Parts: sequence; structure tokens; C-alpha cells
Amino acid sequence: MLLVITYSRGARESLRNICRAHDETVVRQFGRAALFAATEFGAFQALRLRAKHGAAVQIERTQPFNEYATVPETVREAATAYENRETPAVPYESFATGTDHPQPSSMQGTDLE
Amino acid sequence: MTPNPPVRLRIGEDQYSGSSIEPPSSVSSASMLEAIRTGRSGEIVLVASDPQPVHDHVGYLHPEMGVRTRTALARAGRSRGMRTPFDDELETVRDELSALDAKLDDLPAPSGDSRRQTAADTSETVQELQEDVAAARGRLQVCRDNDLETAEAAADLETAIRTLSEERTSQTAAHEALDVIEEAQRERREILEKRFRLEDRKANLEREARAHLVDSLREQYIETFEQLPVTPTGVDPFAANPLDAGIAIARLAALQAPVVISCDRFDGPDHAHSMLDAPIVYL
Repeated sequence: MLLVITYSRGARESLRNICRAHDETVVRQFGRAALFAATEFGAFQALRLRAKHGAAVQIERTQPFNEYATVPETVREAATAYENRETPAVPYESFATGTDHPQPSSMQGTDLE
Repeated sequence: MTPNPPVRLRIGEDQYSGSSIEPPSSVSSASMLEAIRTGRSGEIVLVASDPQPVHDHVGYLHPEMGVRTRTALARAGRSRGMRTPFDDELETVRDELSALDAKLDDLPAPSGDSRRQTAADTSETVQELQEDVAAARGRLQVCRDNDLETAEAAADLETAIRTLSEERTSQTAAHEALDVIEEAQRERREILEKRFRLEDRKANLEREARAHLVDSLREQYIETFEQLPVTPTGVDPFAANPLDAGIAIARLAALQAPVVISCDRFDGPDHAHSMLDAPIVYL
């Protein structure tokens, strides 16, 4: 999908107009941002918006997220273990200390593949 | 402040001056309005105060006019120097917006286009060259398999590999250049984000200020109708005939620049001037 994010009142208004007029191309709308179908028409609408509002329009392309292909096992396990913890009020950093689970700082410093 | 006399008009050889003037009927309202805005229009030269924002609404009173009553009333309030509890924050927000605009101007112009194009082009070329290398390998293998001379095919393969390697270097450079651009775009967006939120805040404050001004002037606005040669409004002063509303708001405003009048509500330019307390150009 194409993620379109607006950074000005004018761009937001134009995005709203496009979403109103092209329901079939808009997968989801979030006010000042929207997900367009990754079709030529979706790209056309996104590029139109950028041609009109310049830097006030950001366009990104999303991909389906396969955590098994993209995320190390330690990180996946840490997420599951943390959500299944016995003591609810523990922040993750404390929870992970003294275990094999990765610390937030190390995860923040490592980009995904 | 208002010059003395409030309006001086020269059309070719003829001069008119005073608080209320009546140019010849050959003069169009459009040229009069342009002259009020810019000082000149064709043969017309006009000297008067600059129009204020409220003039956008009540600067030309004529039967076919429309008027956004609340906005006009709020601007009339501003023309009288009225303030609202939102003004201090409005000023702060406007200053912050100017500062952000200056920061944006200092950034290098956004130029992602050409670098994205270059990155895409080199990637496409790399792909083509990979195919060339595969083809060259294939031809060399065919020569070997058939006990043919391999020198030329080997040389071709070497050339194809070298060309691919050079293009890969270009590709890397193109992607690095793209990374630089994307970093600059991130920086620009951080500023745009702050600016966006401030613009929304400004719009809200302006809305609140307008409402405050309208509330403050509501009573006076209703009373003004009774003083002027306009049709009484009935219940809702904000649903009044636009010309009536315009006349009442013009009366309420502290107008320095001239108002162009092209309607039959007044007996003449002097009557209009005394009713509206504003310089008058009577057409």
C-alpha cells in the first residue's frame, strides 16, 4: 500500500477531497494520513497531491510484515514472554534484566534486515 | 491615520476631494475599488488611507453583494482596536510560525526527484548488465563446449563484468546520495510537523477570537439597524439581507479608507457619510 502523510492544512484538505472522491482506492483514512491501494491510480493520486503541495506530502510504500522473515527469534520471544509475564506492573527493561531477553537499548540500536 | 481631506481623486483633468465625493457616472465601481486598493486605475489617481481587512466585506455596498456577517463583524471590531483574551497567544503563535518559516527557508531546497530518478536508473542498468554478463558467460561456455576459440568470448565476458562493476559503484553512490536527501527530508518534516500543529492552533484561536468579537458586538449590531435607513431585520440579525448587514457593519467599523456606495439607500454622498461615519465614494 502507499502511505500518504500530509504536513499542512492545505495538503490535509486535498487528501480529504481525494479520499471522498476515490473511495475505491483508499484502503484506510486517518485524517491527515491515508493508505492508498498500490495501484497506478493510487500512485497517480499520491503524486498529484505531492505535485500540488510539495514537501508537505510524504509518500512511503508499505510491505506486509512477516516477523519470521524479518525479526530475530530473540526479539519475537521477548515480546511474547513479556506479554505473558506474571507481574503486570513491571516495565520491560526490568523484566529483561538478568534474562536472555534483549535490552531495549540494544534493540533500538539495531535496524531490521 | 486618515489624511486630510480623507479622499482626493483625480480623473484626467478633473479633481475631487473631501469626506464624500461623487465622481462622474462614467467611472466604474471596479476601477474605483482598484484605485482605493492600489492608488491608481487607468486615468484615476486616488489618495486616501489604505483599506483595512473589514473593507473586504463592506468596502463596496451594492444590492448584489454577499457578506459573511460574522467574519465582517469581527473585522469591524478589529478596526476599532478591539482585543480578545486570545490575542496574546495568537501573537506568540504567529511569531513562532514566522520563525519556523525562516528555518524552512534556510534548508536546502528539496530535491529528491533527480536523485530518486538516478537511483532508479542505475538499478535498472545494473539489472541489464547482469543479464549481459550472464549472456557473455553463456557464449563463453558454448565456445568451450564446442571446442571453439574462446579468447574473444573471454574478453567480452571480462568487459561485461568490468562494466557491471562500474555501474554497481554508480548505484552505490546514487543510493548514498539518496540517503542524504532522505535525511534532509526528515529534518524538513520535523519542522513542517511543528508548523502544522501551530497552524491548527492558530486557526482555532482565530475562530475563538472571531466568536468573542461577534459576541461583544452583537447588541450594538442589532441596535445599529434601528439607526440606519435599512430594512428592520426581524429575529436573526445574522440572516439579514447582505446590503443591510453591510451597511450596519460599515457603520460599526472605524473605517479610514473610502467605502464605495452604489445603492439607493442614501439620499446622496453627504447623507451616506453622516450615516456611516466613513469617507464615501458615491457612484
